[in-house]
Amino acid sequence: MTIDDAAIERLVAEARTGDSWAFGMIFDHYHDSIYRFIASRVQRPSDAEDLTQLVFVKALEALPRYESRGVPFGGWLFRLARNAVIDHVRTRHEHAELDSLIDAAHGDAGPDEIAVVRQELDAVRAALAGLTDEQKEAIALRFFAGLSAREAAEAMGKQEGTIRGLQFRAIASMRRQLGIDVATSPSIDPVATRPASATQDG
Amino acid sequence: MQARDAGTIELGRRLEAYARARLSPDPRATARTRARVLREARLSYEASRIAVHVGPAIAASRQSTRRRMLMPILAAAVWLGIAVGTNAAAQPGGLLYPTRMWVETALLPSDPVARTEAELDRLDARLAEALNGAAHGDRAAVGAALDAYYVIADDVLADSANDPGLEDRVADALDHHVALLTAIADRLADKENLTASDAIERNIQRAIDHNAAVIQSITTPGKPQPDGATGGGGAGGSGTGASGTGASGTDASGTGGAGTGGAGTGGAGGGATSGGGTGASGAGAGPTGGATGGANGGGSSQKSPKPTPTVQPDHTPRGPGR
Repeated sequence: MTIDDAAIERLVAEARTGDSWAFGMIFDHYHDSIYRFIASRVQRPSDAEDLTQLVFVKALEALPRYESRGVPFGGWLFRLARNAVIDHVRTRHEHAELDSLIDAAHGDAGPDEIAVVRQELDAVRAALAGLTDEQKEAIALRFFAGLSAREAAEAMGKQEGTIRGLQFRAIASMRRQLGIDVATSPSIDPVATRPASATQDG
Repeated sequence: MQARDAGTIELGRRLEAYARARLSPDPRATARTRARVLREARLSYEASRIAVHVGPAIAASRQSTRRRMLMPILAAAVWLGIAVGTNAAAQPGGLLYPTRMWVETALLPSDPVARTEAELDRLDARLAEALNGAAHGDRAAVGAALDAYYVIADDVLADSANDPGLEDRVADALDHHVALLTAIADRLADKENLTASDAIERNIQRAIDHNAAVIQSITTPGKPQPDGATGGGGAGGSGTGASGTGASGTDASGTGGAGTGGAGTGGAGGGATSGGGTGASGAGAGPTGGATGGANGGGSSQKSPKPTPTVQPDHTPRGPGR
């Protein structure tokens, strides 16, 4: 589902007045990206589900205090998600790692193909593990959650240029790790590789 | 925006594949989460709506809490008002003044000496009230205070009976009061004949007369007087008796004449006679007259029974000024 920023702001305004349908639309628009970001930062899918639910409940409670003032709602919402992850990692003494125990279904792929895909995914996981926490977070927000650089900057509480720098270095590191055409300069714009839920380009 | 190279596109593809395979939510979990979140939303919105409706009630409840907190203060204020009102009503001329007098009487000690002292204090208090009323031109207060004064004076006279020391104490106090009242009456007499001043002056004059009568009754015939043995007191009777307006001159019985007779007898007899029947007027009319005569002519060692305090307050209807 693709909704532009103006539509999001309208939904937010309606949700603030007590329109549960509008809040449902906001949930539908952001749920997958929130979940992806959280799942990339915690180890268990069940924790990701719980934290995703917690983020939306917190958003519901904090919505009356939300003021746009030029700050994208997505950035505000992902800041809540980031704080929830930080609290979770801190309380569970859990190292935030990209991990998943179960891969999604691979359709009609045969065992060999599945093995190749799994190997490729493990390589990506290993490449991500080699990043710094801030680089991982930037990659998660930009590629997994599909946020714009501005939204990611808002979520991380940093300048937009800082986010671009983190992303640039993360991509270069991963390409080296994965052996992807290291001779060429990496782009800092993930627009072509963004997940379907991405709404804005940074 | 920088150009995207094949390597970055490849990395993006792999990241997307990784996200789709390992970071995508389970649709059933998503449905569960959605249901829970929206239920929370509905409850939250419902709570907000209820708060809007209940808000005024809560505010009213807070007001009633404040009211409850103010109740002790209000109660204290009411009690204070009652106390102040009662105090005002218990002032001379007030509705509760007779009640106050009754309570004071009821609380008097039973011991004769202490009782007499307390009664004298009460007399002082009544006199002060009367003088205060006179100073403010409050005829009702003067009248009420002096009425109470008469009653107390009679009581103290009865209570001090048969105790020469107490009787002397009472006589001294009343003498002092007479002096005060006389001074006030003179001051009022100097004023123009304002109705209020007249009425107050009449009241005070009555008190003076009453006191004089009480004092006179204390110095009864046969009562051992400190100087009675000398028998030289005859002259005292003549002054008051001559005019026929002795201490109890207001008495219709003309007991003042008895004073005169007593004087003569006392003077002549040098104290041989005692008792009140020797008045020249033969009236024997008033125990007061007889007493005066006997006292002045006293000196006899024979003590006649002390007459019951017979001074009657002047119940003559007060003048129109009251």
